[in-house]
Amino acid sequence: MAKLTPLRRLKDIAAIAPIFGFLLLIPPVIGLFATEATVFGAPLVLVYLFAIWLALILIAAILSQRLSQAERDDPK
Amino acid sequence: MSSLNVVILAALGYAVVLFLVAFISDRSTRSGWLSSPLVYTLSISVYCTSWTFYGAVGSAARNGLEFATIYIGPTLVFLGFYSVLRKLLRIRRENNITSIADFISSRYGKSDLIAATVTIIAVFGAAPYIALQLKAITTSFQVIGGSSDTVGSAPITALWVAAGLALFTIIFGTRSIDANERHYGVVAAIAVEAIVKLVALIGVGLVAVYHVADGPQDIFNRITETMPPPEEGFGVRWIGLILLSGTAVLCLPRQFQVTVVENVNERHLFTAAWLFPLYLFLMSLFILPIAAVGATTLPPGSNPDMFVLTMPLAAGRDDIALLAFLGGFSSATSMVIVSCIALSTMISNHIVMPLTLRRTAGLSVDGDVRGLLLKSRRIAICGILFVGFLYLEFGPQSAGLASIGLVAFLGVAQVLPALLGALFWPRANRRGAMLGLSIGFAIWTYTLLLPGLLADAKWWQQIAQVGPFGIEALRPDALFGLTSLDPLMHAFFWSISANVFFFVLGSLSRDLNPLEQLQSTLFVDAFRSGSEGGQRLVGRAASADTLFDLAQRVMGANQAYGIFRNYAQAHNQKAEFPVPDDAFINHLERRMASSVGAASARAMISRVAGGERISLDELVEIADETARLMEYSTRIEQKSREIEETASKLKSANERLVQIDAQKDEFLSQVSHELRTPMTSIRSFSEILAQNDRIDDDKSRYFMDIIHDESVRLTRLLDEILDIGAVERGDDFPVTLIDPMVALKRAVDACRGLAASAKVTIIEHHTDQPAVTLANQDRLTQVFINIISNAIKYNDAVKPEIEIETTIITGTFLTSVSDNGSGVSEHDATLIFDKFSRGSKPTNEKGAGLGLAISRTIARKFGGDVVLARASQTGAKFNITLPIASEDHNQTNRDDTLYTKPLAESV
Repeated sequence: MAKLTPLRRLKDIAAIAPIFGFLLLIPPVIGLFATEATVFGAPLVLVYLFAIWLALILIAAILSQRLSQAERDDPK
Repeated sequence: MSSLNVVILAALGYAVVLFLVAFISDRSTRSGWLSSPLVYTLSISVYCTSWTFYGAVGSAARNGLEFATIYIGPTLVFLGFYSVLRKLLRIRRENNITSIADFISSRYGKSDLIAATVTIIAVFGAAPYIALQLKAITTSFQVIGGSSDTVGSAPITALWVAAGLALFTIIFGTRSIDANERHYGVVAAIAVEAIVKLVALIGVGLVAVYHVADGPQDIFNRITETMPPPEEGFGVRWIGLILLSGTAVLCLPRQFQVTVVENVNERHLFTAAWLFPLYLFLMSLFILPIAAVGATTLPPGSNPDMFVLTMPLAAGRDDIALLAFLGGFSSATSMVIVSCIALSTMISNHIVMPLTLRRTAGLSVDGDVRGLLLKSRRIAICGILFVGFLYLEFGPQSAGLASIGLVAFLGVAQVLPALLGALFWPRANRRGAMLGLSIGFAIWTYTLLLPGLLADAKWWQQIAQVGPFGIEALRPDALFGLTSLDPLMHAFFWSISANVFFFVLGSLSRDLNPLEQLQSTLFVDAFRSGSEGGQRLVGRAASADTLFDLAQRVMGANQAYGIFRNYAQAHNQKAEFPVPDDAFINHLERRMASSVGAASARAMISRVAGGERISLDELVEIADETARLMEYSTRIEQKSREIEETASKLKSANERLVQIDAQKDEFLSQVSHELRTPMTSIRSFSEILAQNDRIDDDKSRYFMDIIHDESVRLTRLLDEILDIGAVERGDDFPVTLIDPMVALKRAVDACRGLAASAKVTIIEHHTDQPAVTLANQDRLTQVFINIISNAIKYNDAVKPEIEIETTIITGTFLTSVSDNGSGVSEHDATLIFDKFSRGSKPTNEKGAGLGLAISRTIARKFGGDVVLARASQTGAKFNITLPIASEDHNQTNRDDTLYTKPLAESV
């Protein structure tokens, strides 16, 4: 059985992350936020969309940094 | 209002700056910042065209948040860069891929047909898209330069712009034909443009938020006021657009060009993975504010597609408006330039080159291939721009910016199934890719492209309303009655579904040919097997001179010479030209592929070196490490299973030996016992005779008789024991094809004397069907005699009779011998076939009790058996079965087997 190296774990996370991101940004999930409610005067769904978007970018940054590090540690 | 002159001056000045940047970057190739991940990321942002710059605001003003889907898709794709994009880059580098068409065709057996198909799809998708960019530039000219009559006619402007773009692209985009030599000038210019458009859009956004509106709070109010209700807009179309934009960022020829082909370092992707989504995020940040401010401040009826320009103009910020104009100009020009490079490469490599190769059907490639390629690329660039211009002038005028862009997205999305199949599905083959691509493309053309192009044509409107030939189910906007989706999603659903379906169906319908198999392994296992490993399986041969001649025509003498010399040096070969072995020919083919594409390179090499012969066995063996490991473990498993089997066989053999050993002991003890009885009487009577002198003659004669009888019995016993030994070993009686009836008749004849003396009647019923069996005549007679004589001897009836009957039942010759005596008791039935057993009935017979045991053993040797069929009080019945030999052996004549020697005594 292959060992679960950090690189392997990160690879799997990197593969699954876009799918989770997609699920968060499509109905029915995004529909939950499409209401009249506002945050500091801004429509809730607008805030939700841009917040998730920014979070995905952050995750991409962390993942790529970790993957880059893991590749260097695990030269294969 | 800035005067027209200022605008023209700014545009020209900007163009000059771009030319300079490109020129300087081209001179200083491979210098620091040009190969930085930042420049790479900025070049990817060619994704944001004027459609983004102007159109996104228009889309936001009409449909609210929907514009964001176009940027969320790419964000998700780059978030998952490690699984798809990284693999694309690796495959490109190892196979010198020149375009998306080359990529697909290379994977599916280097097929030029597939390459041409993808090229045609790309051109069809790109022409309206390029027209859209030209339109954006000319419209923005009109808007910022005042009314259209002061600018001059729009067509003239568009023509000038197109000409300028063609010039730029030809100068910096067709400098070399090798995909390995990056277009540094172009990349640098595009990076600059990426910064300009971002700065411009943020500038306009800041004006909207802080100059026109009163800060964020006011903006939010305006957004709430102008946006459609938030409950709307999150349906099928929302999901579909995210998928579509994610597809486009992979499959658009220009995206493939900047992301994959122009990539200099795989590690740059690690930066682009988050920096490019961040760029998109920043580009999107001010779209809604600009749209909201535009909608609330500009007069009703203003074109929302131009809010980016008209809003700052209306606010009196001409400087920002000029910046916005340059931003839009940048977006449009960068897209057109990269698209033209990508498309012209595809057209020259996948359409012009194969046609030329086909025309010159001779053995060698004539003429200057390199010159031909460059010329065809330049002509293609002009052609593409001219078609775009024509489309702008004479195409439909009704479509908004966004819808044209989406039509193009769906067109290139037809490549996605084949692309993903190329990366992850080893079984995907050329037939599947070809079917999926062409059917998807056809449906896209019919349901989306033509309705847009021919919207104003009367005959098309007719078709759209009632369907072609009046067939309602084939209406282009409601295929098979599907009316619940808007035209884009309708076309999306049908084209992609059919595409995937036929791609899978076609791929499963046949096996991969060797070249497809090889390419499949190189692509799907890009990170596992070294490319050289697979390439060395291809066996071809040509002289070094011929190869050089070919190479210099494709790449020019200098570069070709460089390749030959470097290879020879790298492989420690003394000569100027390397030995033209398989490895070198493959190396050369891959180098040539970076100029003309895999399919054409292969075709050209094949002309001088012959077609490749790929050993499938070797291929399969090295194809997949996993497969090899699995095979290994399977073999181990099999071996351990074999060992287990052997062990259990040994165990049962051992048990059998123990059993036989016990039987032997039992037999010996029985034999000893049987021998002891007569021996005891012989000893005691002989002792009496020896010790007593006074025994009268009568008595001594009586004793002598007993001793004699016992000796005879002893001899017979020993004979039988010897006999059973012989029977069990199976020696001394060879089997031949005989007629069992002959043996039976001999046996009955032999028993007649015995029967007469015992006054037993013999009744016979015989079958008249002939039969042969594989047996030994004498031994079989012995069996019959034994059974019949037993029936006579043990018959205690008042009027004794025995009945002998023969029948043939399903391949068996059955002889039954029954008597009318008192039968065999239940207890005896289980014992009579054992050695040394006699029935419990008192009898004067003196046998050792081995007869039935011997008979059964013999019958079993012949494949038959002797069984006690009836043991009732009214008489016993023994069945002797013998298998009948097959018909083709049935040649033995009954008369052949006449008995010649006297019968053995009954036992």
